[in-house]
Amino acid sequence: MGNCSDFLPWLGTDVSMQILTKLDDPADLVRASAVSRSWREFDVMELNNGTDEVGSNSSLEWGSLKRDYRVYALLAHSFTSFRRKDCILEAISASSTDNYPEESIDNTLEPDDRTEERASYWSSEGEGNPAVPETLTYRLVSGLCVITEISIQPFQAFFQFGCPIYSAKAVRFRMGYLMEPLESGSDRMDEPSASHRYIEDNFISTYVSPEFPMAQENSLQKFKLPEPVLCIGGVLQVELLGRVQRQEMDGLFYICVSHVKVVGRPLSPTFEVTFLDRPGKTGNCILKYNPNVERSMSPARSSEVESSLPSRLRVFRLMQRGVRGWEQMIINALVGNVAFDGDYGSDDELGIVADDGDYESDEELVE
Amino acid sequence: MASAKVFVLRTCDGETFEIDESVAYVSETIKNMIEDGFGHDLIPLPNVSSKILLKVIEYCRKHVSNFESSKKTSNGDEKDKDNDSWKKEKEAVPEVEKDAEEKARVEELKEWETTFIDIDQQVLFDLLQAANYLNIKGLLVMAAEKAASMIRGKTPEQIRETFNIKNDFTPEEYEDIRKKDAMNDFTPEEYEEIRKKIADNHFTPEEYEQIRKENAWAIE
Repeated sequence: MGNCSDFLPWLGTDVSMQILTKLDDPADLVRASAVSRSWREFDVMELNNGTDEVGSNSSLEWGSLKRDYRVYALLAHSFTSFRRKDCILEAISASSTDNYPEESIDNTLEPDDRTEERASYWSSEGEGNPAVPETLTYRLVSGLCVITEISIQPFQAFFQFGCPIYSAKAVRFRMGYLMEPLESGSDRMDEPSASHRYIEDNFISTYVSPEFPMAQENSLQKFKLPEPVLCIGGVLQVELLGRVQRQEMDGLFYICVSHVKVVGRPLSPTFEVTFLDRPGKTGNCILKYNPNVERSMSPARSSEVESSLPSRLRVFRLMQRGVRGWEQMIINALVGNVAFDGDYGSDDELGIVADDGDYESDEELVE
Repeated sequence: MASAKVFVLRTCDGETFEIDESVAYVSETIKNMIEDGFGHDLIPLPNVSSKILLKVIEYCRKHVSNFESSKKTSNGDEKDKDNDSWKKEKEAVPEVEKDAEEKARVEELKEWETTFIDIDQQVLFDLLQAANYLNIKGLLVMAAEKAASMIRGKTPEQIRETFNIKNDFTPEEYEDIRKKDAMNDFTPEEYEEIRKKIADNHFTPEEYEQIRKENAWAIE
């Protein structure tokens, strides 16, 4: 490599990421992304909110307009700043499982279809009717994630005659939240059917994707969402629609998956969402913006984030309908030119309210 | 007992280097090759030149000897695999002395690292490639930090100058980027000033209007 060419693409993605992720100051990352096209493509910006941006207590006394502008600018900026990564924290439940726990949904977190000891995949129970669907439910690393694509690899039974591939006909995705939060690592592991019933009773989906046809191929198939979706609540479901493969041994149709990967941008710990009351009824959730939380190296588990509540917290109240407009604004900032869908109502209905936690000043932040 | 195992590495320019097993194992790639049975003959490293491999071996040797002496200062271990380890204690040392030794060891290592990584750009990039290929985490991290330190605090133009990179954006693209990332051309000091001004409410109405315009993309 001569002195004239650009070293970042020459070094390759892995090494370049190693270098760029050491730039903690968001200003450095922003400047790095303006060096050349190849530098911009790396899209590595992470906002490290360990640096104290809000200098003093006077921040809580800002005029409403300045305060709003600042927080929204930071909100939008931080959305462009997070690295895309694998967003699944853990598997919650599967609608059915054959041979639990050997063929449990946890195997789908493992990218390979086999480990040293055995094959690694999830299998549904067998059905005579190929139209019976299955659902896999996962918890994401953050209560707020912007999801761009989901990849699924169906499982090819290399140990069966003919190496059949137990894919589904089509897939669809749902995102949302659980009305009653499920404790991480609870007894659900011992009773997979109980955990699935729990999900059915408690999961509220705020988004349903279109259906994507699935190929009967042993490959990691990428399903790119038509536009990035903000998952509020941190729960994602993969619906596997229609079975195509019969097992020779018993003549029943199965669906088996060896890997599921969800790619997107987690927004915690800078932004957190909590639901007020019963979200289904009043539709209120609180968006918390915290400029002082240290960025942790590992994906934030919800319990850890809650316990690290800082002294200064910006609290925004969002109306259910307003959440849509807010999502759209964020996504606009995130990807640039996503068309705004007029269905979200006029600006007056945006209903985004900023306050300082004591709910005195209810000023409209309509832009 | 000192391990007698020795391996021979061959670089892309045909030179060979002999190293101890403990030194070889610092590279996960070489370790895997040996464990897969390729250690009996020459281990070929077609992606690494002799100049760079010399640096890499220097790092690996230091890594092994440092590890040995850290074992001594932390738990009075008598094991001495490496011939050129720093300490040759025969009995356990009291805590206070061990702490002082540990501090000295860490200091010495830092100094060594600073000198080791004070190399010109091309060598640094080649070293990054080699550390990645040979899967030597500590070296990769050290070299990446050095590269990052050459980027920190610089405006885009300064970064381009440092590394001789061409600005391949069209004027329209660049204007677009400038608008989106308003803090682009600020030095860290200027940026810090602006941040403080925002926090302390010290903008004049005109200044504020200017900032609002530049960041309109974030609010609309």
